[in-house]
Amino acid sequence: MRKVIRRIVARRGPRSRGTDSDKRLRAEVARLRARVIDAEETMRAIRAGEVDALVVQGQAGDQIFTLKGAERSYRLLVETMSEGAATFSEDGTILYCNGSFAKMVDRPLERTMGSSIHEFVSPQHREMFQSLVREGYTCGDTPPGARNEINFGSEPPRSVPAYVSLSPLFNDAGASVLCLVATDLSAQKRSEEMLSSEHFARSIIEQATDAMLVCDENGRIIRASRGVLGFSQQLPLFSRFCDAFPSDSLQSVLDAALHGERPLGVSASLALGSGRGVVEVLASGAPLLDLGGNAVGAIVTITDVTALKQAQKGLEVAVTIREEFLSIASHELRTPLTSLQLQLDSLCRTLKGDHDWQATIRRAESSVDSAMGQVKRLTHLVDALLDVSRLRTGRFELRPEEFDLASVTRVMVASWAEQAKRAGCALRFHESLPTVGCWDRLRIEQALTNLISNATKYGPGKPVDITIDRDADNAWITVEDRGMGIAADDQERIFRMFERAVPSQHYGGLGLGLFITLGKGSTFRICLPVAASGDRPEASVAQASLVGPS
Amino acid sequence: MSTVGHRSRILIVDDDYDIRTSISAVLEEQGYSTVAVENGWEALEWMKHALPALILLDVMMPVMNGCQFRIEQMKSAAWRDIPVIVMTAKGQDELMREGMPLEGTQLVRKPFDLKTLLALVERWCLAPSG
Repeated sequence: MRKVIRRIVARRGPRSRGTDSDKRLRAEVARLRARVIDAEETMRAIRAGEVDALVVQGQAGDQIFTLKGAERSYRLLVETMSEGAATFSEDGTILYCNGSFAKMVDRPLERTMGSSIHEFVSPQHREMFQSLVREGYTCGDTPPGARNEINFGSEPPRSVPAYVSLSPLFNDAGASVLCLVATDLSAQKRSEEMLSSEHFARSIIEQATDAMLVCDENGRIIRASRGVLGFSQQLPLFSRFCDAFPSDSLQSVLDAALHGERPLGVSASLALGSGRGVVEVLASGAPLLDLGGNAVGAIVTITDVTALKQAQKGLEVAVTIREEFLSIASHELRTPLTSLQLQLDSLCRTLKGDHDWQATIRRAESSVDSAMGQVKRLTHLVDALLDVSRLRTGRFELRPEEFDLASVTRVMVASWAEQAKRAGCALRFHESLPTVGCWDRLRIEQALTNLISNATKYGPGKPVDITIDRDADNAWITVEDRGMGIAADDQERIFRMFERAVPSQHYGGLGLGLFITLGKGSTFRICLPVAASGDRPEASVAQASLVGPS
Repeated sequence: MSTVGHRSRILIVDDDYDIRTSISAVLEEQGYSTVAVENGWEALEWMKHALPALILLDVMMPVMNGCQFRIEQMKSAAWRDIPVIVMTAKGQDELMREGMPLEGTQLVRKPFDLKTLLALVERWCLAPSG
């Protein structure tokens, strides 16, 4: 606050000349009247409190007379005002301050006066305050003076933010004293912070990608995050939770949260409305507490787990298929192992027995042949399992070489004849002209094995026809049985891994044959592109297809 | 190595040719009389004409599997008491889940050796049929 000095100068009347007594007298009266008017005006001004000091022009020059009453009223004003006020000297010593300032710097009034003002300024603002002081001395005594925001005190929460203005105060020795007026900004800062934290909290809720709903104690939605738009076409603000989310499970989450509980991960199905289907959700809730810890509402979060649930279902199916596969694989591997074990045991007994040697050798040969057959069967099974692993990890490689498809097929058919005969199947190979191409011989043998094995397994007692054809671009291997056939619905499925068209309890096999190969009777046809050696290696990949009932 | 001096008739039911023939050969060598069929249905057909002293039964077979065979067997008073050795890769729990009646059966897990099989056959064929 700036100290204002009102200047009232006593007026002087015109001087008398004294030439004419009448004239002189009249002039004297006029002078006296003027002095009276002057005095009356001065008295009125003093009474009205408009006067701080009187400057009286005397023979020794101007004399200043201050009025004690005026100083007192100013002091009273300064001492009772809510702003902090202080005067301090050039070295920073506080000459005078009011109670508000002492309170602001958290020090008793009597100990504040005489201290250095700089020690009350927070360390990070000291430099700024010093430059403000320099500015204060030069800015003159007209408002606004030098101003800035500084903090008094050291650290929060003891530090007090204040808006400070400095102006020079004239005293007898010139402008060596500064007057400081400080407005406490704590309350304002607090409300700014509260506004900002309220905004922050609201922003968290509104921007959350999960659906987050804040409800009042009556279950009315008062805040909703953007994520809620995943469940309703518009934000269901101010509608009742039970109307926006008509699900008993979700309502139970809200009710529990309103009662101070924290339900976690409750499953629910939620109809989206407008024909948008049903989603699977997980909901959690928590009470919304006031400062006193009383529940004044609840927060409910809803997460869409439809995709997750579907993936889980897929996984469960995969696990079931795998378990069934393992059970079949175990059976398939154990069958030749059992046979092998029996053959070897039998061979042992034969050799230990006291027999005619010729007969013993014949039986031993038969046992060994049979045992070799089982080993071959086991090897085939293990290879099939390895192929699955290679196909799944992308390490399945083809090794193309040039050979005659007809002769390889003829050999394969001959090697299967005995086994097919046991199933009552005659394998009929329809000879053709040599069909030379560049393919992976092992894989073709494997595919043929799978198809012939399937044909005898599913079409026992009836002939199986194997044919080789070719045109300019492709060669074809066709395996045709007269068995049970494959229902139209199953025709695509059987080419997948572990799949078969009939229950596994009835038919052996790993269910891998057609997955690796890729059949009223069923006719399977393998299409092999005829390409020059090394020309189009990718074209060597066979395409297997199921041809309709023939 | 004891040879059982009787001709108990044993019915072997297995879709695997090698197992059927090797078991049959060994049991014949031990003095048993054997009949080998490929599935449950063939076994039931055969049992309509003659009763075996013991049945060696596989589980996973086409046409009629071991479980279905056992259910049919239990329906007939004449067949119910014929003992059965179930040759399987499966466990008892799994067979029960699949609905196989297990009373009067003995499980032998594949792969098994000849000694085990012969001991079991001998135990279940104590009463010689003459």
